[in-house]
Amino acid sequence: MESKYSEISKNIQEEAKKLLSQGKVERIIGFGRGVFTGEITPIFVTEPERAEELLFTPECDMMLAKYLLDYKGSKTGIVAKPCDTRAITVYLAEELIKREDIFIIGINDCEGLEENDACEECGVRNPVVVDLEIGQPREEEIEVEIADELEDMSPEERFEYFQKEFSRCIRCYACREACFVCACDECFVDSNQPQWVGSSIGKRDNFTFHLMRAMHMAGRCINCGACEIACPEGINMRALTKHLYRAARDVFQFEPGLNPEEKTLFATYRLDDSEQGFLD
Amino acid sequence: MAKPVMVIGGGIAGIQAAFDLGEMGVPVYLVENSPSLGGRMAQLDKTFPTNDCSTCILAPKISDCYNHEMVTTYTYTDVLDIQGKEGDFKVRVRKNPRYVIEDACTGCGECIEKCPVKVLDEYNEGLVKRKGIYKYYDQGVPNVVTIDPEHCLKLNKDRCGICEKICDKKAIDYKQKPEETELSVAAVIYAAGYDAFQGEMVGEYGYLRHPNVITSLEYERYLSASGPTEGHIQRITDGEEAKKIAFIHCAGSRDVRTDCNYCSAVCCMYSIKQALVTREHSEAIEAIDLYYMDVRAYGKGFERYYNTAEATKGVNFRRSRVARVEEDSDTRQIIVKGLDEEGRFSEEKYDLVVLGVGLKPNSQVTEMMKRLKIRVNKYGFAATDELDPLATSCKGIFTCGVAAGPKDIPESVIEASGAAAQAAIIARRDGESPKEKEKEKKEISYRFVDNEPVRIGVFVCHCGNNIGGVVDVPRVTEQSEHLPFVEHSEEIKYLCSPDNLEMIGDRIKEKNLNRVVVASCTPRTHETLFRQAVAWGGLNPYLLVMTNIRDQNSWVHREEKEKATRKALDLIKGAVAKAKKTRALERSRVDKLNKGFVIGGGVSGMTAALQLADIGFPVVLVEKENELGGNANKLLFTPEGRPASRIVEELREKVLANDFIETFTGYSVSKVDGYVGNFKLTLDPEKGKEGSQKEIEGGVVVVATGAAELETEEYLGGQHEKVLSQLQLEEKIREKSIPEDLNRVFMIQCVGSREEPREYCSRICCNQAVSNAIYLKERYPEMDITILYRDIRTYGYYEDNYRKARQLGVKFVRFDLEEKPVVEDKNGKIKISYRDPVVGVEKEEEADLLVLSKAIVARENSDVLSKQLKVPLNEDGFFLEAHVKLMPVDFATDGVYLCGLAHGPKNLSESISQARAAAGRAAVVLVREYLLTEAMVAEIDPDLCMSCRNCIEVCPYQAIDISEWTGKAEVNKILCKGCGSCASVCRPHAADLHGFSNQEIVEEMEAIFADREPAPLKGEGL
Amino acid sequence: MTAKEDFEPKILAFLCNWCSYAAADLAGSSRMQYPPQIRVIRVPCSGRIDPFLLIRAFNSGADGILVSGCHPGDCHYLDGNYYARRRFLMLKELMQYAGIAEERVNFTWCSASEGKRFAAIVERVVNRIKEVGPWEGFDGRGFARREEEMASGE
Repeated sequence: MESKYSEISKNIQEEAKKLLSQGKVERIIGFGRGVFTGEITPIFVTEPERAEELLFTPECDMMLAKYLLDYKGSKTGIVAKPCDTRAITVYLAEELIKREDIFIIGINDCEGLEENDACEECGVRNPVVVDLEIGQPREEEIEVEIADELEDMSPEERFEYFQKEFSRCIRCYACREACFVCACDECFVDSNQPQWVGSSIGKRDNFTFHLMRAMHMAGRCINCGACEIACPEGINMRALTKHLYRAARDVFQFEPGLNPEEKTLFATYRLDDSEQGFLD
Repeated sequence: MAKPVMVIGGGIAGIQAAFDLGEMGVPVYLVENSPSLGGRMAQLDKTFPTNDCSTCILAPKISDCYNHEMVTTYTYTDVLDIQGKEGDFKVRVRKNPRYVIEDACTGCGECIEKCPVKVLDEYNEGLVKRKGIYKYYDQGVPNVVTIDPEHCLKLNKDRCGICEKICDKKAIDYKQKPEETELSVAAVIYAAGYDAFQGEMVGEYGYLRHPNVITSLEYERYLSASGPTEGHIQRITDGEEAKKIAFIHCAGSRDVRTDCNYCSAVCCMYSIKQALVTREHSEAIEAIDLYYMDVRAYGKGFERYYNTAEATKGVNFRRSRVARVEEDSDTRQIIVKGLDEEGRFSEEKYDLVVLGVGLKPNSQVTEMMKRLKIRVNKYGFAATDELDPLATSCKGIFTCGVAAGPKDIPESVIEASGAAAQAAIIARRDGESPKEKEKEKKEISYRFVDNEPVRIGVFVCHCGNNIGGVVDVPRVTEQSEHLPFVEHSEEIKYLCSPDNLEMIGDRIKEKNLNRVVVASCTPRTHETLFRQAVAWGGLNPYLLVMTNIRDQNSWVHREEKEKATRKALDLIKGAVAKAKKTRALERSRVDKLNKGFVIGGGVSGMTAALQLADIGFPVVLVEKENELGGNANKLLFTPEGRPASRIVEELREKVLANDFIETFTGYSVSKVDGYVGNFKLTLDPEKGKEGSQKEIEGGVVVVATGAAELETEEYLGGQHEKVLSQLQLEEKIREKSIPEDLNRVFMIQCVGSREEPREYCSRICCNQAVSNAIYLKERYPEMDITILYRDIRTYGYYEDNYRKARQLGVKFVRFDLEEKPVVEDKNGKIKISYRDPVVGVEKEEEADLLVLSKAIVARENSDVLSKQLKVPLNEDGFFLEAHVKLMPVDFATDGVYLCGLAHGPKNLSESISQARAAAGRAAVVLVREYLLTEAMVAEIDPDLCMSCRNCIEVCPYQAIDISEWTGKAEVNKILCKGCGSCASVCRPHAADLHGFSNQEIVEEMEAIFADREPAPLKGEGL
Repeated sequence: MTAKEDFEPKILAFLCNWCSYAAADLAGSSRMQYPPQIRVIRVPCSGRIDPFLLIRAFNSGADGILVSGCHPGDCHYLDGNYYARRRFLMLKELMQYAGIAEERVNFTWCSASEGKRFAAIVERVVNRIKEVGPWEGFDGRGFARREEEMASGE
């Protein structure tokens, strides 16, 4: 196991060095060691000499794709797990970044991260878009199910469950910082014209915030789990977004981050879209 | 100022003509003899082939027209006489007494409820009763009542008088007399519509004899949610749910016995529509049978609609003549006895039989035309020339819509725009030059209020008893005064009366108000009026917020006065809160250029160019080929059988001689920049053409790029010298190279049409084949001609040709798509095998000549122009107009118009009408000195925009683009229509809509629920 | 807690200007009677309605919402209601999953000639919401309903 990761790391380092020294990219976004022991942090490598700082370990759970938005217009390489490539695909679909500006070093046959429950629900184990593949792609598809842990609850029970969960929210917005979808210059929680939701911590506004957040993510969230890992209160952050993911998939056959040519969920429609639940 | 034009008839055609003229700056008198605008379309439930709700699409058009500053509407008015000549007509009209003062009546309808008299309701085809004082229909415009002089007790017996007593506005006047007026106009447009056939004309269908036999127009009312049964489909005799329904096509049309030999052109489609809508209405319906001869689904999108119907479970098409209609006296069911093409009899029982009655000329109009010596055709419709299809025989008098023959709504609208364009030429020619200085003077500058603290004035209307009788207006007014930022509140008996409108202006000045809230009736009808009042007070008119406490409150909660009062207060709270955030809005001016582009130099393009030039604008005409003329260069005949070449030649000469038209043949458009009013087109010479690239600027673009004949090898097309297309046959006839020894000629219809991948009818080929057959038969009577067809679609008057061809001995043999004829080359000889369904035998015969009616297909490179102009194509590759029913020559993108074959298959005459229409619509932009944006448009904050382009995707008007300067999305205000789709798809809320901003809506909502604060905490800490 | 039969819900309705608002006006001019518990906000198009507004309505204390646009195909702005339909369906999914009674979240279409339908829809929606009782807020604490003050004219 250990050797597999060091193999990947070695490959990344070699390729990165080549890319940087040949001037194919201006920088490479990847994972490296942080200041604390064992800490893994995003690093930005611009000199070929520093390429060996790049690492890949089972702890590399951050989504790096978001950093691409900071380097629009200059050629940037990125070390990307399959989920990162889905995030990149979402960006490409909205033309937030240009394909020619990025160089994707994609990691094949992702086994998922132990820390992240979302990985168990992920069927995308090879990069969706890639320029250079690290490792052998996984050939056989894997059967996964995007679980619904609250399935057996009645609506009232779910309501109470969410009340309890969201009551713990301290509105620190770590979820937002971790999420690649959250790329607005001004977050709706900070808007005061209008004020969409009260900013103080309280059950009412917390619940409202989480509903709005989920709606905001719909059609873009890829169920990567970054928000849940980031949440210091251990709130079940994915329950709502995951449900909308399932709904979009089942009702509209739409799954974000798989096809850069596909318009986002709410920017398109079909004449025969479902009207389930509408009053006839 | 241009001279006025009169439009006779206030149906959809008249409304379109009047509106277009008004938009071209021409004053219009719109005269309608019924009490309301709307005509036949207002009676319809849904429209084919989109199943659009008729009222939904018509009502905004009516109010735009009625409220247009250039349009004066005379309803309930008859035209008595027209004298004079083009440019100088005197029209005598008689305004009939409504016995109601139109300016005073608010349309509240209190009198209607109290009126004791009941009369058959003509709007509902006499199926229900209305009162003696009535509105023609609920949404009717103008919104005033009318007293029926035949039945009113007061007028006839000097009894009753309740309406006068009940009307607070003193709007009833039993002493009104007819008023005759003479109006001077430069031109007249007849848009007087049609009479529907009455079922009694065709005795064998049992109309009137059997109650369960009804006409299609009656059925339309039954289908309507606002009709006599509120959309329930039931037997007339006992109100039981109807389970089996038959539709009989051509009831009265295509019928020598009724003297209406023509095809009414719309009945096939509306019958299909009614069948489909019926199916949707009720699952309980067991069978819907359509009895027909040919299904004439020849218009754009019709074939698909027909195929949908055919595939719909429970909808059955029966190709069968109806021989007899009888009633089962026990069950009151209707027995339909049919005879199919193979001579088999059938007998079925139905709960309801709907007669697809045809359109016949409006008898009053026919009479009048005869009196005025305007030529009418043998059927009584206005006679027109196919090459000048909108002009009557009297110069300066035009016609559009069904007045000149049966046609559907989009064609009527096309003709209306075309006739308006032609009338505008006369009106503008003889008018004085516009006095722009006077206009400038009228412009008001508004007080700048952005820096002022908000001071709101609330005006609550009693509307007599309409609001005041239910809502406690004094209490609401008093409480409004205590709302935040409210400086003044006031209750008024009738806020819309002229003196009170003036009063609003006075109060604004007196109290230094800078926002106005009006709580009264519906903003849909009164917002314009109250905005004007606000403007009189020196305030920007968009600083008004209206809330509806009548139509959506007092009228619908009559028994719940307290609750209605609370609701009114809530609504006012909401309006006040919204007003707080409302900002002054401007309709900004955008400069524009005067020149028009026409792309495509066929008959459509040339006609459009000439029309635009005649209205007074320079035109750039671009044609890809080296010669003007397009498809018509290959045509032998016009649809009515005149030689085509001379006509094309004449048009070409006119174009080339016109100083206003600059023609570029051998050029095509390589690039389009800009938008309405300010386009820049780059023209490149075609290969082999000498010349340099041109960059030309102009204000509008008319697309007239035509279409092509399908190239196909089916039936040995292009493979054998004895197999020709209809166009090739015409070429041979023209060259006089038809061999003399042709004995046996076959024609095959629908080659490449009406089947995958072209699920549409090519429309012109039936008449083309029939005309060519007649030509041959008249010259070579011995020639044996057989036309193999699927349905003969000689719509309208072309039915005459079909009949003539049969009389001349042309044989017509039908085939099904599943059993197409087989054509083989046997040692150089053409063998055709087909099945004759009438005798039921397979035949194999030799043809000396086989003529194929090949499909009309879209130009291959249409997609290039489509992308350049940002206008869409439909699934068949033809250009797609903004609305198939009511905007048939406009694109959703402003400033780009469409005509001719580029829009879809149509004949020469129809292309000419549409070209005139496109030019007319384009002229609406060109006549203006400058363009005005809408006030309530979207705006995108570049600081928040993340350039994700979702707004660009959802904008239906192509109004948003990424700015070259900022890299952020930007709204082009001149193209934006204010739907707000961008605002709700925008994730960072960078896009917002003026007048309905996020902030305004949130404030409104918050205020409505301001009384619902969270309950106090119990024991919990903060 | 208020007894269900006495419960006076307050329901927020968003109606598009061209079809549904016109239908509501038609219900008025035809004097159809329907329950007075709805408060209408007029918007140009159902496509204008940001789902945030609807979530926010519950935050403000609405017992339920009703959104009505033009029937699919009839949109005055060509296709605004098609985009709206997707958003509404997703919002409905979200609210339902979060445990908000589905009776509170209502979407429908009304054409300009369907005054009768509009009245019937309002009646149906009001009954649905009465059935599930007052909305107690996301915190479950309920709202002080201060309507009684009004009656006294204060």
